[in-house]
Amino acid sequence: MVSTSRVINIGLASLAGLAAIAWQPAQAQCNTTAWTTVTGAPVSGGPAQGVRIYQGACGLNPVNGAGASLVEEATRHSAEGGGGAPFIARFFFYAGITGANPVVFRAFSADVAGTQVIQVTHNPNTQNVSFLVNGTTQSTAANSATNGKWIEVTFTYNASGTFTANTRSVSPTAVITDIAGSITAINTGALTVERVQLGNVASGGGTGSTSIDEYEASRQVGGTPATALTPMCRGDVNNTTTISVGDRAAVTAALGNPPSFPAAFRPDCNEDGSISVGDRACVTAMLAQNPPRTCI
Amino acid sequence: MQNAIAKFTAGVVVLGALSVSPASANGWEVWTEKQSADKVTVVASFGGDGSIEEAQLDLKVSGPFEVLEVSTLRKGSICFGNAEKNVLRAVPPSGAGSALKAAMTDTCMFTLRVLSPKGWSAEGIVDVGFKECASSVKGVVGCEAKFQVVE
Repeated sequence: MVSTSRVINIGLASLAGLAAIAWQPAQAQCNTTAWTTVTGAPVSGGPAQGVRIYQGACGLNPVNGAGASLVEEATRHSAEGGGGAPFIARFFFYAGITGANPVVFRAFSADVAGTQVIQVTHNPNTQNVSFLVNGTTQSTAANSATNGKWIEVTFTYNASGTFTANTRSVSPTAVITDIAGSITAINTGALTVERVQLGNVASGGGTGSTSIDEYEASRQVGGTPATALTPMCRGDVNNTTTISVGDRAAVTAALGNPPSFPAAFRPDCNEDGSISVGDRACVTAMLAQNPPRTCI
Repeated sequence: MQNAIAKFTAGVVVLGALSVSPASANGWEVWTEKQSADKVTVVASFGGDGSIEEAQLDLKVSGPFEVLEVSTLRKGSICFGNAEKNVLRAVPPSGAGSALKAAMTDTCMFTLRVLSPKGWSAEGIVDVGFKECASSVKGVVGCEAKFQVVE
């Protein structure tokens, strides 16, 4: 029996070979070709294009307002199980919109159209994240997803079972502190996830902008469980699984001219949406933690 | 080494036949000195190679110990000791895009109590747990750590 699980990692860039030339000036050509459908003319790029990045050289700024962006995952599920096969996913969005509640993620039951299965919304007033699944909405605690920060969202959807989700963001007042958010399990229906949308995918509105990056998903195929997603260690800028001075150098490289954003690097240590000397200070603060801060 | 042990422990010990060659750069120098039957002082010094912007040295201690004192010898450095995790950390301030100075510069001094004092010596009491040097141009680069004993 051929049975395996699979991780889908849809980056927002065509970055083939970039990792192999780490520490060379990043000349990434950011695009959305890895996504099946894009609407609303989102901007893909990096800081030079005014696009925030969480990892690598490219992120995506979806259109804010009536024209929502749409990114589908329509071609990547044909061999994947349904009927209770868990679907796990992670993505990052930047909480940069006020005056409206942006829907940053939706999942549907079919490649085209279909029924909405999951909806993820950020509320900038209460600064938390709401999850709508099977007609039930649950929200993380107030102030667990603060404005002006990248918000990490992870969830597990098990059709005819339960949906669980967690969020993580950086404290706006203590750079070494992560704020965790969670919900209790929501009972799900029989529908499976066949397509996802990321961006500002509903009516938009408000002021400011959001960004998305690093969507990654895995699901059960046959009898093999979904593969756990590799943790991303904040402060481990150069992705060595260690927080060390090499990470400070990597931040400095990202601040250089030209900047260096190798595909696996995460220079935004304080996750405030910009690459700055504050990120080097963030790594320094982590290096000074006693007992030493570790990734695992 | 700028002889931090002599400078910072004056009056506590009389340094013996201290033979210090002119400062040689590119890497770490770790000096250990037995202060008493159960006390040792460790000084970590760093000198760059003209391109290294960042340096870190995590020392591990042979046998159980207690951290009595940690001194930051160079402003802006990270210096701490943790007996439970068996780490003595020394990190000079970031070069922030500029090379750290080549002259060997004392960074941190640790005073430890050896909790199993029988038969120990200053030689071999500490070793490298983790060592890294880096620059924004070259990424992580190699650097050495040399151990010396003040007798």
